[in-house]
Amino acid sequence: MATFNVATIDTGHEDMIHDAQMDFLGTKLATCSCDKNIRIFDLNVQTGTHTFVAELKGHEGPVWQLAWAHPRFDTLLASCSYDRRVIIWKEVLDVKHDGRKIPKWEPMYTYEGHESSVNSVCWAPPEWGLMLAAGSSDGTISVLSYVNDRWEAKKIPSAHTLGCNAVTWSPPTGPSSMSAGDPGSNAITAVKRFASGGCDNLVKIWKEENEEWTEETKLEGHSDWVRDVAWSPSAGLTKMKIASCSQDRRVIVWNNRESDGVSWTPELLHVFDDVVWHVSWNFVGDVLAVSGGDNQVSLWKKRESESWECISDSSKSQQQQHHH
Amino acid sequence: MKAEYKSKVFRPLVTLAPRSLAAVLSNSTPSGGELTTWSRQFFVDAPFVRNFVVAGAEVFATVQKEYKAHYPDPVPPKIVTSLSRMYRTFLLELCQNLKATGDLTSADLYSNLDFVWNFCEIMFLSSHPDFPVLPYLVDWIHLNFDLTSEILPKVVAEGSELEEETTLELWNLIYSHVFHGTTREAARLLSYLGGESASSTTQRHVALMEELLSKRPEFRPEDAASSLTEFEALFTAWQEECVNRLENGAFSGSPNFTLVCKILCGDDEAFASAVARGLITWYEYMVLLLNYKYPTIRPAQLKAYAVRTLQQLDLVDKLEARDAILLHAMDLDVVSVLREITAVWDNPWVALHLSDLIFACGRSSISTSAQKQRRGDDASFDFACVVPLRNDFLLEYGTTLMEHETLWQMGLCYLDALPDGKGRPVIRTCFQHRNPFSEQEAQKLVQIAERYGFGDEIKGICRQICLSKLKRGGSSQAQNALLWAIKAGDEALTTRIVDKILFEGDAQIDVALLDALLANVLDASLAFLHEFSIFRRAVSEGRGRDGVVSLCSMIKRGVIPKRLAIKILSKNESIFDDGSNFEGDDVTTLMEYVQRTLVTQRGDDYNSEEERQVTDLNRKLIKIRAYRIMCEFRRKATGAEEEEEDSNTEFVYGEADDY
Repeated sequence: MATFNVATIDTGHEDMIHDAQMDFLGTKLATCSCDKNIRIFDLNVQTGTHTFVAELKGHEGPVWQLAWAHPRFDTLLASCSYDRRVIIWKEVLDVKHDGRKIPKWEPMYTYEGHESSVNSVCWAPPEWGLMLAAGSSDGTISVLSYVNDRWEAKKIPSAHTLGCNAVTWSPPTGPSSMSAGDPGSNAITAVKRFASGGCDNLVKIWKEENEEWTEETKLEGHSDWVRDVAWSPSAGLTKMKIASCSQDRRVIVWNNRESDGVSWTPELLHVFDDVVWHVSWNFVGDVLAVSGGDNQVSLWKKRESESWECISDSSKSQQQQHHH
Repeated sequence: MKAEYKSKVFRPLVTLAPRSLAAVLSNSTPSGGELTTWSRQFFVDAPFVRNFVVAGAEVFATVQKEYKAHYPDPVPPKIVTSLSRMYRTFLLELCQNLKATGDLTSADLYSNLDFVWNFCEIMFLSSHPDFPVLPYLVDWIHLNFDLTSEILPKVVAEGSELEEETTLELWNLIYSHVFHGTTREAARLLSYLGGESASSTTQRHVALMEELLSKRPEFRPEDAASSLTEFEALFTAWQEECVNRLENGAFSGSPNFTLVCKILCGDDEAFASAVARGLITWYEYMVLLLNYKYPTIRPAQLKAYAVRTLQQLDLVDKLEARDAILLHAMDLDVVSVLREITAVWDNPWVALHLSDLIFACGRSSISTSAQKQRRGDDASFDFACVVPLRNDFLLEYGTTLMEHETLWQMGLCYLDALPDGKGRPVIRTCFQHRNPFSEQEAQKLVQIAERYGFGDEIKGICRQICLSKLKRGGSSQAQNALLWAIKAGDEALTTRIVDKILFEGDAQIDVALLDALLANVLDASLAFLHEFSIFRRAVSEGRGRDGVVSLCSMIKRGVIPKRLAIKILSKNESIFDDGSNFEGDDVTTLMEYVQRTLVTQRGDDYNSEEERQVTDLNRKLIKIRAYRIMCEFRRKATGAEEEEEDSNTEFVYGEADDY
């Protein structure tokens, strides 16, 4: 089993933390909480220390999820909350009189187009521009785009009956060619896709067609609310996968065997002891982190043509901690 | 909009950090603001391991070279074996280093890895499926269980008069050499017993045993001339002689010599008594069996004897982790071997480099079923399984290295070794996530990205380092940042920095930057900067005339951005001090420009200081004009030859009227 260094960060939040995300380069950490606030930290990779930078106040309810935009778009952070809002925050440099530059966070844009709690936000791949998807308990999904210096919103009405809990974007490159490596990059696919999970027990895949978002595929496999979905990054080695986890205690990995982005075959990763809340992929797309139940965190990896194998488990890791 | 939230269900979260397994975040408690981070320990960062990893990477590179050189044929076993030995040398070196520092646990780990690797080398790389495996096993046992260095010094020190305890130890050493099959060594050791002080019987026994031990036939795999049948004949003959000597009572009266002889004869009881004395491990026992009973068995037949040994020693239920691996190796089950190694030690190094060697070796021992039948093999090697495993290990190890602060370049070598260019997109992704710490690192990254043709990533890296320099502040950083912004091809950022330098700094641009700008005319929007740098260079070098020419050129072509006009004028007064810098319609051009600027500047960026400077400038220009008029007038008046056909003469007079 993998040995881990375990450490705790006291974020200063006064209530349960709902999300914690590191930015693309691993230099910043943002956390959000039931206490309605978002806190930003700078991370020093070399010393492994964190420094509190700012507290973002603006939401009027528990903040559910955070998402960092790609660094090419300056420093932007999206948040969504029970208060029905999506806020996009921007880091600006405040120049003081003595010439010092202090980073400051401001809300760049507030979207109030939902009628109920917004549960999930996710940025699209930067290749498609500055774009964001947000899923809400009102059953709709909004896609926000920043075009011509303005934010525009497109809504998908009735995406999931009873509510949408999670959204995740497909990677920008098309299914990689497994044959001789071509000198150019994998073709950036013209078709934009994202997946969502909802209270109708379904995972759905949405496709942009003629500037409108339409439902392309419906993935049936769960018997209870889908809590989280995660589309694996495709570094080109393995075929595309989507992981979904549910109140039904299962994690399913949907495999796109034909590499067409359309046909998906479910594979049961595992049946857990309790509700599974979150799934998330590593950047290569071959390790899946799963959290559920009473603070059980596990990592899963698949060897070629084998079944999924648990490579680490928080309970066991903690035991190892004691031995050291 | 007040929103009351009642439900307090604890939802444990998990997020993987952007880099592979660097960190996992999870919220630890339902009520508190505590966040738990789990960061995976990279084995690379342990002391001494770093050098070991680097050395291993060099051997790995050599393996790839050999593979390419021999392709499509497999790399010959001789070369593969020597490369395998190189790996093991580094493993052992690491062991020594760790032992020396007192880290016995780690030393033990790597020692075990070497033990297992060595055995796998025999089974998969060095031995030949048609020839005896024993010679290799003898070497393996000797390397790992030889007691000579522990016992011999004492023996030598005591000379001819050996203490009783030392004699016992010497005999133990002799026995171990006999068991191991290193009989010539055993023979040499006997001489310590046959000294002058020994009885004549002992001396006789020593002489006889030396002879038997030295004559024992050994099959040499590298000796092409030796054939199996010949060896078998020799061995049988030798063993017969041992039996004869024993039956003729050659060693009667000496229990030790008798026992040794019985062992040489392949006597089962003798073997059992060795075990009873607790003298040996099962590995040694197995080799003992082979040495004196089954010296010609082939690699694929080994497993049966291992199992027999384990049963005899009643160890079947008491196997250690490494034993399972050895047994898998005897089955030629390379997949299980690699999986076990990874599972037991959670150390990717061995699995990767071993599978890579096996891959390179190609192992022409992919037995056809006919061959298998002919040999009566139980085990056969499935080469096809190695490929996906190797790919997996390469990916894992390569990406792990690529995340490392300083060893990331080595990761490239491993990812490049993935077949069909599969490594390229992975490398690309790794590049996207790298945050260069220093300019040097950024340059290295860019260099390498250029090699791969990662256009977007180069821009990203340049942008990254540019922004980090801007954050640091200061004019030299800003200028440096500008160079990176240009390299990133980021227009908006470039403009921002140019403005910054001109507005916030003292509009001084140093020579190196000017050179870079002169060399890098990217597009129309940088055309101004190019011109401006020529202008600034001229001013800073005191070439007033050139400065004026350049400035007028910029004005006429309308390339100076409005927002910078007043700044440029006010900061470069020096060229206006010397009238001789001006010719032709320079003054007119400039005066018009200055006046236009003063008018349009009455707006948002009202800066009284700058305005005052520019107004002064205007006065200077007027003075210059006056001066020029005077010069002209004087020239005409003195009747001196007009050196220059001043086409503007009329113009000047005309203007004087306006004036």
